[in-house]
Amino acid sequence: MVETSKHPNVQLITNAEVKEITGYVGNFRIKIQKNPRYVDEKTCNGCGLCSEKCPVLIPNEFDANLGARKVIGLPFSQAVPAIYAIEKEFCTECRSCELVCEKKSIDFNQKPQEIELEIGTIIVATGLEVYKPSYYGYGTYPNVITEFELERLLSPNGPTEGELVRISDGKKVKKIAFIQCVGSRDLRSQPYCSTVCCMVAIKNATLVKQHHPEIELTIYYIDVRAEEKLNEEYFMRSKDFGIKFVRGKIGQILEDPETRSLTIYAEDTLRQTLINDTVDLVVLSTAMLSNPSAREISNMLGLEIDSYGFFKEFHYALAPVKTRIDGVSICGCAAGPKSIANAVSQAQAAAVTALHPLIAGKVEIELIRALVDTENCVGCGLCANACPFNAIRIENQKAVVDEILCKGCGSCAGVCPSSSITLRYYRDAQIDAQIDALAQ
Amino acid sequence: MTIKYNPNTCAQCGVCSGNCPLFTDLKLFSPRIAVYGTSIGYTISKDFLKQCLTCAACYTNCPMQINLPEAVREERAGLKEDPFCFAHKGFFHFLDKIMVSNKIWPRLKIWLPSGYKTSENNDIGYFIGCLPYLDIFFKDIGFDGKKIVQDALSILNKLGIEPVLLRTKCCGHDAFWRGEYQIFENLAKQNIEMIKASGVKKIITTCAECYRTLKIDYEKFDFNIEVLFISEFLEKHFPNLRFKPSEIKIGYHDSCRLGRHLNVYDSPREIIKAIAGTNFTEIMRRRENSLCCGVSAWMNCDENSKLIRTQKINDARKAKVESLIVPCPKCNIHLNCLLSEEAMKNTNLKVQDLTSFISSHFEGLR
Repeated sequence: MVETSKHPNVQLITNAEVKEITGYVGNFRIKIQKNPRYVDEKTCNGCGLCSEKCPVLIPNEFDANLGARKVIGLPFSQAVPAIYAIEKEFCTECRSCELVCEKKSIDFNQKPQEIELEIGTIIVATGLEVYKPSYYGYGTYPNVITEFELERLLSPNGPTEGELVRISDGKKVKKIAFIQCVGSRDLRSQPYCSTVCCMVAIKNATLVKQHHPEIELTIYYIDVRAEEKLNEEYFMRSKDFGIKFVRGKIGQILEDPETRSLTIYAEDTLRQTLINDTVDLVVLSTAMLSNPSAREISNMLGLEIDSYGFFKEFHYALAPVKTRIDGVSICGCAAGPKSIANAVSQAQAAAVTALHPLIAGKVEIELIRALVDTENCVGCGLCANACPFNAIRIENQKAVVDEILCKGCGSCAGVCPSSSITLRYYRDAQIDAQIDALAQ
Repeated sequence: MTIKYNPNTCAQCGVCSGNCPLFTDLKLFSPRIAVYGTSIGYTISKDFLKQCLTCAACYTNCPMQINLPEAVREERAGLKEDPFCFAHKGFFHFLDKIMVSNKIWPRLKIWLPSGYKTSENNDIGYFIGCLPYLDIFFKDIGFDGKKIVQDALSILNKLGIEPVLLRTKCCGHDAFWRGEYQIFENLAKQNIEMIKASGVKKIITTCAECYRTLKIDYEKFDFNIEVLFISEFLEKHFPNLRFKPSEIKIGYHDSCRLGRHLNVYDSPREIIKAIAGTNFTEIMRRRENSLCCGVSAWMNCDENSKLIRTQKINDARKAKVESLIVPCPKCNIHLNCLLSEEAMKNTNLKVQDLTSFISSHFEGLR
């Protein structure tokens, strides 16, 4: 990330939202709203004096809200760029930061800035959202946590500096249960397999076991899907650390209101017995969801979105990073749940795909495009509404087709009441002639 | 509407068994295996059909929404012989059978004490269900069905409503879940005829089982009159109601028909909270995970059933509940039956019907 920000050819715009995208491959125009940090980006040197003096603590989102951080500060210590920002909605505006800042970088009058850019190609990498279940007591029982929260607990720069403790009372953990497929393979949330949770759970369990061999650790799974390179070996080896794998998803979790320990009920489906055990922590391997903002971006770009909210690739197997819009590629979890290795290879593929038209300086298009008979067209606008690629606009009461955005799908020709739009190579007369030839 | 049973999506995860009240250390009663069997062409075992409580703990928590209770009910109907051992020497089974006769109708006027205002012509009707019969049988364990009806009428009268007392029979719930469709259909058709003749537009019930049957299972007989549970009905009047606060600790038992079958969890709680305030305590297994009362459709009241009920009572005792409110008369009977036993004599716990509880604290409109 640091390297990216330092690269002379890379302009990094953070804390910003894309508001509008127009144009086509090679000539996209993007309107971006850059939200204020209330800290001058040019002068702030990240010394941290303001954060030290700030009296307001807010939940630390990077630490899965397990720890706290100051209202002014970095979202997390490796954040790029290392420029401090104020979370305005929580700020009391006591202005202690203003007093201590030697560079006079604090500026409460900053307003959202609008930036307009001309862009050749676009890569959509909106990432993922983690599923938060409403069952298994998540949110009500403090000792039921997600895989993500466990990772923060284990991290040396996490809220407990790597100490694995019960959330409820900070006591040592003796027994942990992992539940797989929480929200994945589940009609109540997402029917798909999130693909990485098995390996994430095994990785986290192994980490726990390496640091605390005395902790009793069981993974309750339906199927262990260790499908990528070396994953099966990793899974087999994890058993040597003493991690127990029980085939059967936990049915219910009950909390003792006094000790806050959790009693789990599950069926060991292989031994066909009831498991009734008391544990200190329950870790849920929750599903990967699409980013909620994906829908907005898809509307702006004219991309397709599947029923789960992921972007649709041009072809699942043969063009996995291309989209139906020329010059727009997708990568990573924007297109579906993915492991880091897969996301990286997709990112590299997307980068090359995006470079291709820029280096060539030209794009080839097919000639099957919509043609407007300007004499007949009355400019009713039905075609513009029907076009899935936003390729038709109405100018001077006439439809105008953008031949680069147009994909020749024919939706416009179908709805035009005066038959003013036809497709090149598929004009009515041509089709009539073909039918005649066939009928002879 | 109920989802059709489809075992093919089952991932064999075992969440159903983890939630099943009958799957214990001692016994292999696994809904998962039943589903697995049907997915590869076997029928559900007779033993399973006999014991399943159809409490829907499996179905509600199933990630793939496999409706096993529905399958159990259907398979029970397909059984040639009568495999079930009925509780109470089959008395209620027999009762359902004789009630089918067109000549037998409840004599409500004799049974019900006077002093309650009812009318013959009103949009709102009150469905009594089996309460008069249960009353005769369970007097000795402290169950009073007549009081539930009185309480419901008193609540409605205080709201200024004079309901039509629907002169109906048993709703047919038990026959339906035992798989005796002939009996169910007969009862349902007679009841529907009676209800339609009375001209009501809205029916209020105080029994969770009647509620489910009228709301879901009568639909196939062209029955589309709005049915409301008493707590749902009161919820609409909620801001205007005046209650006398309760001083003792109150707990609430989600009965399966009301909770898991119909997703009514909040309206009874809202009313109890309005009455008990901070004295309302949630017991451990609640809402979707609520433990069944142990018996359904008067089938097999045995040691398993008793174990489940003991667990329920223990849950309530652990939460230091003094009065456990139940929305279903059957749950009321089963839990009270356990409390009336010698070993439970020292228990400082009362099991009370929701309607009676509301009525005893209801003071009228604001």
